[in-house]
Amino acid sequence: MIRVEGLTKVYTSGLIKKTYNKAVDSISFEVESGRTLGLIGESGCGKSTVALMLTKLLEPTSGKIFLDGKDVSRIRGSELKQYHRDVQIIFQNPENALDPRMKIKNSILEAIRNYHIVPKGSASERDLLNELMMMVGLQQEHLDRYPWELSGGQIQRAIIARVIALNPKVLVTDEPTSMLDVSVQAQILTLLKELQKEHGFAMLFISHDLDVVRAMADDIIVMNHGQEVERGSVDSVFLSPQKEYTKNLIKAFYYENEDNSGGIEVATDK
Amino acid sequence: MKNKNDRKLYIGGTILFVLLLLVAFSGPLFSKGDIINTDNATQPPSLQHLFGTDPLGRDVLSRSFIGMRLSLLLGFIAQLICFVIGVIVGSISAYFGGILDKAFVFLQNVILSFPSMVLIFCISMLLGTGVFSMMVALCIFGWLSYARLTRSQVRALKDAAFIKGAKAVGSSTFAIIFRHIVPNVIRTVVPMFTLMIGHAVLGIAGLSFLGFGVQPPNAEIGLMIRDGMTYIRTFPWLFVFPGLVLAVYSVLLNVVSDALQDRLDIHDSANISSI
Amino acid sequence: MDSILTLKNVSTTFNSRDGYVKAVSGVDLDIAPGEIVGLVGETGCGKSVLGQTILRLTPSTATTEGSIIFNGEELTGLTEEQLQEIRGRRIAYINQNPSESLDPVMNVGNQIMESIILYENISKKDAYEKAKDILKSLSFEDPETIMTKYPVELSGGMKQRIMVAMAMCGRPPFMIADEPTKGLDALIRGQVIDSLRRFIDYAHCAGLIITHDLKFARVICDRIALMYAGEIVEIAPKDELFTKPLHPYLDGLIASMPQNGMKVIEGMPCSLIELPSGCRFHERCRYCTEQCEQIHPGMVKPSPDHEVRCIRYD
Repeated sequence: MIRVEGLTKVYTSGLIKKTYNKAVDSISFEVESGRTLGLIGESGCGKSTVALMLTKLLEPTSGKIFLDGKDVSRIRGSELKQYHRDVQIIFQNPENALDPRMKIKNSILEAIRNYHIVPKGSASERDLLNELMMMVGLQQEHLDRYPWELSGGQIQRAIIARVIALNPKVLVTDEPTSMLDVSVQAQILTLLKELQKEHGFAMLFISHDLDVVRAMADDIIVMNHGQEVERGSVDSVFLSPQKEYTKNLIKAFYYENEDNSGGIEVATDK
Repeated sequence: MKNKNDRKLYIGGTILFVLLLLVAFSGPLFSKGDIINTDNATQPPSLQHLFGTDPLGRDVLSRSFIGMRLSLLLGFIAQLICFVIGVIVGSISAYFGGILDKAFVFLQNVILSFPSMVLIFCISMLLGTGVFSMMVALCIFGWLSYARLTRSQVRALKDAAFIKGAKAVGSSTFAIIFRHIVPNVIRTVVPMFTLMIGHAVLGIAGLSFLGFGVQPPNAEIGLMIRDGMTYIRTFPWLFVFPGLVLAVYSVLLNVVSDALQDRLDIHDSANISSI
Repeated sequence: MDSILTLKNVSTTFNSRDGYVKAVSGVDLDIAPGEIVGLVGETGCGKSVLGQTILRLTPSTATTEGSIIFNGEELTGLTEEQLQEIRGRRIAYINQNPSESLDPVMNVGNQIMESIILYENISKKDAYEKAKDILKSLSFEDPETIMTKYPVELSGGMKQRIMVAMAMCGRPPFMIADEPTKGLDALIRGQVIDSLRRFIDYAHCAGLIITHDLKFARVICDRIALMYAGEIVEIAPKDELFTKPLHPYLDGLIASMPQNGMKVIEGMPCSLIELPSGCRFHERCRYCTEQCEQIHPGMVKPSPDHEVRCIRYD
């Protein structure tokens, strides 16, 4: 379904003496329809940069992206617009993920109207909105609310509604529940799983929460400093991690060093 | 979170301001302001003339409102021009960035490096003293604040997740600017507009007081205060009451600006979850 | 009583635009010297407000009722000046947002030294040595370099550990930490936990740790109190809380964790402005009876140190 080869992003700074900072260093992977690839790592490891490049919100320095076997690395104009429809993204922070001045209805309609999915202002447009609300577990009355009148979980549902309206082939989720409470997280993740089963999109699931990735993904890639550290099926990576970094990450996440109160072996300060 | 007392102040202040605005603009309909009657000169405040009369026998109260009306009108026009220029320049500067942004910022710094009073004197020399040169001078400085605020707002908005989200659902650059960025910027710039009208009114009064700007025999509040100065020992009402009127309007404009900010500030209006 | 901090029927209400928000209602809590109590709950349950209430750090729109007794002294009646003496020196407060709490224009060394001089009244040179020792004891590798840094030059985890260092200076007998690990990655979080532990050992202090992270609470606390809609609904020793959860809400919370299958708790937390009648959880509870809708349950003690607010255990 979607495949990337050697995706790289280098930031340069300085005018004369240039310094290079490799945010993402030749990452390659492939996700099939209905499957979920988890991308885990600490903040600053480049996983969000991968998400932005994959959704073409950020130009990669090098590397290729293939959608359905077609090279889409250099597309522009209407092809790019179609790509934006096929590859959707859900961001981390629900608080600023929707325009605070727009009613939920209008934020969702923005997506629907951009692709002329149903005639503007028609009855079928209203039906579609209601159907979407039902699908993500919101009420019709939420359509007329503003984002700040909803809770984080409700906003995240509204965003899922907007994404699902476009019927994407690939869904990228960048820490979709890290700002939410655990009970709300359960609701959102369950919803995403159900929708995936129904619509069959491929999913790239980015998170630093190992439990969440474990619950969501089929395969995972562990990233550190922009590079791939380890990859494999969820069970193989969690149960028998090969690399030292992965082992440390898992230990720290599950507080495995914590039972003996005292020294904790952790990565040292810079 | 603002409490209820603040809101009472906002509502009361706004109502009072609107009333006073109506008075200032409808006043001339039933005014005795410019009636010269030397028999009635320099009367102290009385029931008939609440603020007394001036050396030509004109009613100070109605002249104050007439003077205020002119200042408000000029202030409004000046700020409207500044608003439009500032918002456009600030948006372009921030959204497209690069060399254009650098050029605009440089221009702003150049203007700011001039002492404003000196520049205003120079303009008055070049264009002659009067309303026109005063307005030019006010505009040259006025748009800077809008441009700066807009620029910083747009720069912050450009990276907001909802802008990326709009891009990701296929919205064009044009749609993003006019559907998302402009309305969100207006929200913070409009309260500034009201605040700046207050500043401009004070500026106009100040310039007229100094002899630039509005010229006699027009009634203008700064001008009246200047004339009143001459009689400050003998007929203090000529100085005190116009000054008081000016102060009341300026304070109310500030209150209205705060009220607008409170109304338009989204994050303040509902969020209890932040507690 | 030998407890260091006793809260009796503490309630905090905010006067907001939409009405009175009952953020904390009727909280009773006893903390023994040297005991670390975790206060856990979801967004808006009032846990942070309770922490702020103890030191009267709540916004001006808040009113507090009830009694807060620290070391035999009633805090609610104290003047602002008297409280100032207690804040930091006797009760340390570690904010969830270290970036807001550190002065951006002063290097962290000077900020730590400032606290030391304030609490101990010693010379600048001694304070410098002491600051170095404290940082060393928190296993900072190179304390002298760290002390020359400004807050912007440090990562979130580092700033949080500096906050811990500053709180340590006064050797307070009690500390309140509000979400000290919020937003930190696992590896960094480990360092902050280590720093907190060393602080507790050094000052022999008791504490209240406010967090949304049940696992973190289990690692660092002795006892955990769970809050829902402004009240404590269950309190128990840390392991017992997880092995023998009693309240249906806690049950649901544990079951909704990703590793436990993400089973969803139906419904949404109730409004804190118009509280429901009876049990505050009854609308979402699968054991709800008619009685639950009418009678607001008190705390019951099914076992000596395990309390729960649910009529099923009466």
